[in-house]
Amino acid sequence: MSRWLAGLWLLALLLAAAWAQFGPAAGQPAPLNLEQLSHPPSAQHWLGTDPYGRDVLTDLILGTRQLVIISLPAALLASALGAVLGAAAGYWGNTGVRLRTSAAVVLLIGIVGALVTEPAEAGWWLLAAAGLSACTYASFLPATTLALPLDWAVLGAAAWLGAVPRLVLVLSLVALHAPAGWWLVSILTLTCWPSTARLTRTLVQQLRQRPYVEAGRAAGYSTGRLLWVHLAPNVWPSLRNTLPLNLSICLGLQTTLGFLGIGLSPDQADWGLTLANARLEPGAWWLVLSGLLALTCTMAAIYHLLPASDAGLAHLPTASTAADVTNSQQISTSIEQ
Amino acid sequence: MLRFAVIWGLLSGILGLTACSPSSSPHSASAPTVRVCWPRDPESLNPVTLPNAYAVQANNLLYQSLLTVDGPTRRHVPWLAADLPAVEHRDSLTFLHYRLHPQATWDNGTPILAQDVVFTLKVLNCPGLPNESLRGLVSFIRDVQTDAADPRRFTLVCRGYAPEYRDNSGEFPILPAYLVDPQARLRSVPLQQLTQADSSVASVAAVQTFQQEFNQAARWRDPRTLRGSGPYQLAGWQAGQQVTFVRKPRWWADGLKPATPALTANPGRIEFHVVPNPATALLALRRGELDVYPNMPGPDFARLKTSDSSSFRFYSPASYRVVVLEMNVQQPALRDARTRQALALLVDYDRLLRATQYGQGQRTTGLISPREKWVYHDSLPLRPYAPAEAATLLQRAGWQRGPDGWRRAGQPLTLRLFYSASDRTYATVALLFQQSARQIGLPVTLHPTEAGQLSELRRNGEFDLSLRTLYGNPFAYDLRPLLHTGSIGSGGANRSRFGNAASDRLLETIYATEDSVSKARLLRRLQTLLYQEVPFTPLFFEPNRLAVSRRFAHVRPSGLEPGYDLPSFTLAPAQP
Amino acid sequence: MVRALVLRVLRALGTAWLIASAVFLLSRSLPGGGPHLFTDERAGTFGQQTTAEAQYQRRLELQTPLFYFRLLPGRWYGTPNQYHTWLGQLSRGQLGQSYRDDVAVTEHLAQALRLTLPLTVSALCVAAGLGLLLAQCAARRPRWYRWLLSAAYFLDSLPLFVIGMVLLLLLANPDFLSLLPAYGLPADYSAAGALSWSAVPYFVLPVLALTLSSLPALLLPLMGALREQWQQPYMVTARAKGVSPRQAGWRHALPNAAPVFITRLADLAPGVVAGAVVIEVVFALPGMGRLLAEAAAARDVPVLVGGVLLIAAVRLLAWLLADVANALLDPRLL
Repeated sequence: MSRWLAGLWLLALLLAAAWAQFGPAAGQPAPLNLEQLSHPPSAQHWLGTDPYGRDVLTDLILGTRQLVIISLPAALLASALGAVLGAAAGYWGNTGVRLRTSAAVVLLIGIVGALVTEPAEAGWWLLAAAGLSACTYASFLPATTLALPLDWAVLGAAAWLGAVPRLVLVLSLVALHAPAGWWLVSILTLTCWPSTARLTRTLVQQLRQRPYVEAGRAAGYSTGRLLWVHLAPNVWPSLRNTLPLNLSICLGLQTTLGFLGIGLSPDQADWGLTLANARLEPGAWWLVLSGLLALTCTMAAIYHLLPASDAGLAHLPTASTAADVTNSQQISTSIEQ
Repeated sequence: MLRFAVIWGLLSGILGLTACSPSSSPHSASAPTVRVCWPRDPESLNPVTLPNAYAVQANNLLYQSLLTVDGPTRRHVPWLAADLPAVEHRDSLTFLHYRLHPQATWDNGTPILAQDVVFTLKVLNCPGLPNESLRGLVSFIRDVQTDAADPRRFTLVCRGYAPEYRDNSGEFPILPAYLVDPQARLRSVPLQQLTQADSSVASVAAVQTFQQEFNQAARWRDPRTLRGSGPYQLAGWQAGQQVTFVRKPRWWADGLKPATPALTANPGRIEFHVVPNPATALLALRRGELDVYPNMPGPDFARLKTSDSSSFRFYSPASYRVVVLEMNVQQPALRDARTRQALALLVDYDRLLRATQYGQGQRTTGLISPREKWVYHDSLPLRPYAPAEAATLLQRAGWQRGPDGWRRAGQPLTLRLFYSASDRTYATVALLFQQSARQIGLPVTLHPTEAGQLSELRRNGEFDLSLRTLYGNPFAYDLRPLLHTGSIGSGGANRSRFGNAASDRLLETIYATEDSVSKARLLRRLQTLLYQEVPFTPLFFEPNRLAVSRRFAHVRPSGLEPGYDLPSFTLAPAQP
Repeated sequence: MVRALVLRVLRALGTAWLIASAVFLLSRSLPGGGPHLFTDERAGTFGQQTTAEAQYQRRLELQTPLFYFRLLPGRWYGTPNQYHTWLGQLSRGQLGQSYRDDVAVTEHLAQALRLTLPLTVSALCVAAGLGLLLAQCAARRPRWYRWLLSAAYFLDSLPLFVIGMVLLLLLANPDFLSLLPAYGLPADYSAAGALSWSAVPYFVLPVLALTLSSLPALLLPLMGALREQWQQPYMVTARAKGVSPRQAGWRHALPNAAPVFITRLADLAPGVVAGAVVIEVVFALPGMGRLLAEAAAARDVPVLVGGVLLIAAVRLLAWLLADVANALLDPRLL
């Protein structure tokens, strides 16, 4: 039943997005009505108007386009990136991945070379370095290896993202490229992955010590198979919870960006901007309420539509506790905003 | 159950505490406490730095300059000086003869003499101090001649001549040498050595020692050293929260008869509360935790006026701040004046004024406020909102309207409009402009931008259109920083990149003209030129929206910053 | 064990330094670069502006190169450079001076922390205590569990500024309940330096807002973990032996569910020093969040980097502590 409702809601969102993209009003923002700024809900405006006199309902419907194009892909990518990085950090730790020293040296020289020469020649340096390091593996150079501190790197990057003020981070990313379409998606992805990564890392760290994983390793299963077939199903229930929450983190970030004036321009309807506008007019409860309602419904719908956990769960006594850890990963970010 | 009882007990305890904690500071009938809302911290009270308007306002309570501005009459009046200076031209120099007020003394009882003015100018010209912006202001003063017979008389010797020297020469705060330089290190360094452009003076030992002593941050937060000849002294400064000043028990101007508005100081205590969130400030005002709320947002002002008019007085004198839509005249698409004129017709001025200023504010034809009738060019018509005419003008400028917008020689006309993010007025203007432009098939993209980044973009001319507020005053008509070609880029604030040799000459003539009839004529010519060339189209002059508790009288509201005269506040007589 | 711990602490501090260095270099690459004397609102005297700007940059020593070298294309600068100066100061335990008012960064941070710490620590303690209590109550009552779950999800989805404004409009509104002060602190607060009772009413609303916003983060995982434990066989055994439900909950279930709680607390800990800009702006409190936000807006790099260094160090140490605590509870994790 709930899955039916969820499917219906998402279908409605997709239809709304399609209408906003291809419909008669495509590319046209909701019209301004300066005679009706911040009016409460009425027969004419079912959800009231915002501080610029635009109809909130129209705004929300038009906003589904950005939701489908920007927020959802960003949430998806952030979850995937976080899961991959977290799993790698948790599984291999600081010592699990080793690189040939000679290959590492060649790579390092290549990167430094790429950085100190003219930008146009950087590509050649990297290409040469990659080729040479591949050669070192093929040849019979001394086989001493160097541990790659994967866990340290992932946690450090996450800590960096957490410690840098949002304004600085986002401004420097925007300075590289104007925040349009795919770049906005990458900015959101880059800033939203750490919570998922930290969770996945903890889970994988716990799981890799379990007897059945040890047994798999002893039986000579490949790492890929161990990760995909044996660990992934057990991590999934938690990740299932993170995906909808990542959406709200992404939208929260979009709200902040909207407030800083980075990202979407105010004529593009967006749920994050609708919430940001509520800050201009704290008495306008209808703005907050309708924005939050739409967001919560979407999150619930996504949660219900994701495939539930499968049999793998049986191996994992603490799966549900870990799953609940994710439920509130966003709080730490909300405090830091 | 027990737990709930404990929680409830705690809660009621806290509530009880608030009930008995005194909610407002004690008032005395003659010297009331005034609490003013500020949106941000002044950041520095150092009298030579003055980084923002709030620091200037606070400094005017601590220090005095030779002249000050009387808000309601919009005139310079003597403050530390006894009279306005006498001006004399000789050769290529200007001499400004000043006499300090005979009763003016520092807090230690010593009189304020010409030597203190010389010392102040030395400090303002000393390298290595955070005085860069004030140094530019007094750079026209070459030397000070003191009078052997009267230690209160002195003459400022200025390079060249400009009518504005008289007002500008009195605008820097006079510093007490006995507090700022107790070791008298600058006494041996002549002023002329400091005003010279070369950097040799920075290596003088006395100057270096003075720099070190002066640049200790702690002394500019210490009430003992941060004090001048003003009526107030610093009582406390919690950065980002509150700055408090108390009336000096004995101030030199106390006994003066008759007391001019500039030399009165009634409130016993002035508190500036830093409240960055407008909604919070509004609540605090209505709860009686604040008395004065300057520069209120329009919607809040309109609402408060209808709901709480019994406890507040409302003032909205027109200010000298004008919001303009600036156009980058060096962009290829905007080089033709007709294109810019067309864009200026796409702004729905009257609706904007209603929606953002709630019926207040004032439309204008140019940069000069309509209040200044003697220079305002009132025979120019106010620009209408006329999309149809705009389309005609665009066609005349060579643009062809096609199914995908306007094109000229294959180049499409698309415009980027930049403005400071999170400013509601700008956002409304931008959205409305975009909507009107769309009606005639002209695409405009909106770029709300973070302030620091926006400044950089504007400095480099990387925009087509931008929204900006220009701050003016009724005294100076030196528009060179805004319109001269020398002010393009980092040399000034000419962001529209407007100008040519003729307009530069006109600006310079205006600057040098003293006679008010010819000055008004030249300024009208400039207004006509700007009206035709449209480097920007002025949207409206903003009002200074001010709400003051009815407990106070003698607010003396004015259009000049800060918009009210705190020292003149008195308690209003009890109302029947 | 101790040696490993010391090593990990050192590594965490090293990482914090790397993070701060990255921010140092990054903040100078921002559009608008370093601070400027003149902005669009504040023009200089005609003909003097370029000179004044140059003097300003020279006084702040912004004309020396940023780093030892430049990349893309490379060029060697060597010393003196701004980063080298900063590093020298750091080795002496200083963080430089603010560009805006020449006050030492350490003093700025200390002043902000004096306000932020009582605020965030009390909020975290209240949230942790309340979370524990509620989770214990809910773990063995399915009805409470369901009710609290939806309540927590709802709270979780509220933006912080909404919570702050709702509290203000409910409890400090002259039209509704005017119980608590709307903003700020008593005037004598930071002068006294110590917590005085008169400051308590001023803290109630911000602490309440922060508590409400961080409660779900602690409540949800703990509630789930405890519920899980209640379904374990050992709990059934304990109950069968006659242990009271309350005792079973606190003595048996809690220690087993603790790691989740510790991890979440560690995640929230950096917020204790980082403050909360939104709440500080709404309640007009000059805390760490506002300090850093204003420093970033004014391109006050020394203050910004100092703050980032502090937050990063606290974050890494908190994670380290959580790892250690979890390892003590479950030795397989180390």
